[in-house]
Amino acid sequence: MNTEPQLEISGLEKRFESEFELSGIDLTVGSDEIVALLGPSGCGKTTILRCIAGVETPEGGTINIDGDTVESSTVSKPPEERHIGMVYQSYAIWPHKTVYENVIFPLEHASHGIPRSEFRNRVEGILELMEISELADEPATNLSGGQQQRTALARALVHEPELLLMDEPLSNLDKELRKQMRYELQRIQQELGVSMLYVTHDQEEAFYLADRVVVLRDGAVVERGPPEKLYRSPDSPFTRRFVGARNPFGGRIQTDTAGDRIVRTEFVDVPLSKTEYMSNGADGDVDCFLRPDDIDICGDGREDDRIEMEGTVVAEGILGDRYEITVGFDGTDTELTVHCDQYRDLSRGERLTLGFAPKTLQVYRSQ
Amino acid sequence: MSSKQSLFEATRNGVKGLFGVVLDRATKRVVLGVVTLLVTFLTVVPLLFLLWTSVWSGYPGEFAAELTVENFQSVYLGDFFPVWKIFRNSLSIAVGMTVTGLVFGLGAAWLFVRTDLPTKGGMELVLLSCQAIPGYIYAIMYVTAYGTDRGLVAAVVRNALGLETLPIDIFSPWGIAFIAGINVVPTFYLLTVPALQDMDPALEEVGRVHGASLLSTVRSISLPLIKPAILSATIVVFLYGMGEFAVVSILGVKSGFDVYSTTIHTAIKGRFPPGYGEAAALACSLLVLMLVFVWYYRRVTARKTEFMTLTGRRHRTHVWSLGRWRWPLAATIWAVLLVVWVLPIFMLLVTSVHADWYGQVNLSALTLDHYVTAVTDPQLRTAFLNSLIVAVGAATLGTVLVVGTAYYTERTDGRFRGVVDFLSLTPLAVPGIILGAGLLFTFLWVGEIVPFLNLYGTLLIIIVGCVVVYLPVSSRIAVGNIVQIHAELEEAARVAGATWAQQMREIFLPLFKNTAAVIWFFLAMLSIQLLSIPIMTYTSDTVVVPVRLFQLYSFGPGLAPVAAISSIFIFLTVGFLLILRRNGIRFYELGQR
Repeated sequence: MNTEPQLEISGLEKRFESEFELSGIDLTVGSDEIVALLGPSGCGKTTILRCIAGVETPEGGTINIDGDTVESSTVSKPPEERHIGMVYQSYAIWPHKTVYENVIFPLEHASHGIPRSEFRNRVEGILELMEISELADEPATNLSGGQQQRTALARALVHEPELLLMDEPLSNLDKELRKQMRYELQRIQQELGVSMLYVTHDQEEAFYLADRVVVLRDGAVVERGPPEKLYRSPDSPFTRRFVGARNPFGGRIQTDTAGDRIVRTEFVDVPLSKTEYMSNGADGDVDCFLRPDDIDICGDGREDDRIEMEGTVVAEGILGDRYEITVGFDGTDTELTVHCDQYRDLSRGERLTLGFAPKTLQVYRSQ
Repeated sequence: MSSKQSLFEATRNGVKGLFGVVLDRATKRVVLGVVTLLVTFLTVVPLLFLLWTSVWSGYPGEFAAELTVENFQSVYLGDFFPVWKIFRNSLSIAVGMTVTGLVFGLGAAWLFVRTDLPTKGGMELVLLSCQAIPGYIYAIMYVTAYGTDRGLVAAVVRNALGLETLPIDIFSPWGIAFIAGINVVPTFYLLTVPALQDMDPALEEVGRVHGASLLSTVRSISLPLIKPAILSATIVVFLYGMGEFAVVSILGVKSGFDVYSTTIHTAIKGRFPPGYGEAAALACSLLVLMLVFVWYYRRVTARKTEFMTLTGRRHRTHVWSLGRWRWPLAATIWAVLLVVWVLPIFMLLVTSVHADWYGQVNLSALTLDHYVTAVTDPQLRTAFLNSLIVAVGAATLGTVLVVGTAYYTERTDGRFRGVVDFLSLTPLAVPGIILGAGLLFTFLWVGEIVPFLNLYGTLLIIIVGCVVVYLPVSSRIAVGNIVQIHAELEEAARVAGATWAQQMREIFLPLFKNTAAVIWFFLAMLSIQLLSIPIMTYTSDTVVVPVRLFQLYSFGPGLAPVAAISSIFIFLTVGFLLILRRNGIRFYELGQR
């Protein structure tokens, strides 16, 4: 085991017709680490992966894989010289080959330390690990989505690459299968000890799988860190909005008549010092976020300094194993979503008092 | 370095890899470079030599001459050709062809795809089978059936009605335009059917649901959606029409009706001394006109996916009910098919078994003599052999070239992609006769400049011509199908360690094999039928079947032998198509000249 990063990217730039698709991306993936690139569609995350794989050429920046420079101003190695594994969103299973032929391909073409006599064993081994041994002689066109996924993964791992690139590998699977594969990916990563760079737009997936998450927006890194940190208290309102179900609303920091600084919103005022304020700064516009679970419906009040506000039920219904209410406030556009563990028999138009603890209100400077 | 690889192995792999990369990049560059260069040469060079000839005072290949504008003067200001009349004639043929193609082709497309017309499968089969019959045989068929003097049907109708002459004359300009137009109906049909099939029926249904009547749905939703397809089909057929040669030369020769192509042909092959410079100068004005149309055509079809979609996702097509008009309409269409397509073929067969044909069936004098002659005649045997070589050669060269260019334009980020793509379309603007003239001039010059490249008088010049003529259509098929193969399949192979050459061998070519086969057969079939290129470039050693037919019709003893050879030709083509169909290759593909 070495401690050197498996993948190092610095200053990666890619232009698409004069517009920056990627601007100055820095990224590392340590050995045995899973890093997730998280961002909305069109943020450039797939382009980063394609630049690493060498199927797209960046305009600037350097890429090192396993200490070996594969992309810089003077070097641009072709994909076959980069010794990686890759899983495509579409799986890219060759339709004219069987599962076995698909999987053995990297062994036959990539350079690795495995002797030819071992090929069959390796393929069989990896098919077993993926639990698709019985499909070996199946033509690739006969496979279901999940089986294609496993084949693609087997193909990407069979030649023991140190680095595995995955491009939204689970997005074409249905919900149940996705959950299962998410677990399997972790299991396989553990067993093979491969470093993974994982591209996704699904924050659940990213937070579940990754040791570190890198949030991207418009071709630039917004924020990076361990999942817990990004989930609990991200540094930027973009991440906050992107990574979790939160009620976003606007507000302003002002000084009230008593000289205290408060966060003033359309429907409630909260003393600034009691909120979770993510930046230090003067008065001005802020973005506020409140988790649906942190809002309670009056009557089960728990704390003394909770803030109360009155609104009208706009919509209500059972969602999964929870009861969800959307509450509007007179004369404003803001609506808050509230989750309760227990079913309530509320109806639309009903007046309601909501409450929340001020420290659950996250406040960011507007950007 | 990972612990899995020893330093020695790593070094060895590195060295191997370095050489591999250099070699592989070289392979890719050389392969694609050669293909690109070849396409450029084949499409551009004949036109350059044509231009040169038009401003050269001597013959092609004659160095002792100078630049001149005399050719242009005598063509456009003098009276070397009746230019204005030629232009008008060409235009009327093109318009007539386009209208015929539009009415019959689009009508059939809509009826077959979007209505519950009974027996439409059979109708489509008849319509598309006629795609296999080249224009000059069409014209001969019509002479045997509807010709004023030798047409059996015409004679029967004339006698039945007690008329001296029929009001319809297939030798009149509009008659010629109609027959040439019938010949392009399958083309028009095939170019518009995909658009009708691919249209999501929900788009129409939602119009109906929201209150539009059937008619206003068709007008405001269906038509705008397929307008690009109709427009591009119209332009393609119009371009064919402006360059039409075969039908006009067979039917128009009697009344001295001349269009651009026939005038250029006569000026070069039928005049002594040949009017090379004048023919080239005349060609220039047509080329300019055609270029304008091609430019417009490219604008119309800028979105490639809309153009000639061969395979694509097919929606469950919504079918409108024709109600009680179903059967009367079907009967009418069968009657039209009978008159326009079936009867002429039948009359051709009848003619071919008579010793001489004067428009009357003589059951007591039926004979297979002409078929025997056709098979035993050494001249004809040579012609068949030559045709076969041309077909195989053009199909092979064309397929390689077209697959290469399509790969270059669709799969690489090469600098000349746009140029190559454009060049592969330009032959659309160059009628076969003009391209033939250009090739003739080119090789007359080349023979003088580099004697070992002298292709004049060889079959190779015909092969090259066929490849260029069918480059636009075949390259669209290739491009349309390359787009269907996901580029990620190839990238995945590279990422998995394959070089470009290995990737091509293992992934791309196996996946593209079927399309390549279709293109090959398609080119072989069309090349064997092509008249315009060989008629301009043949010499006594390189006569192919279409040329022989043309000669026999123009100078031969009678219609019956011509009918026999035509019949054999049709049998062979249809047989060929049936064999392919049985093997799962279905293409009534696209385009003809």
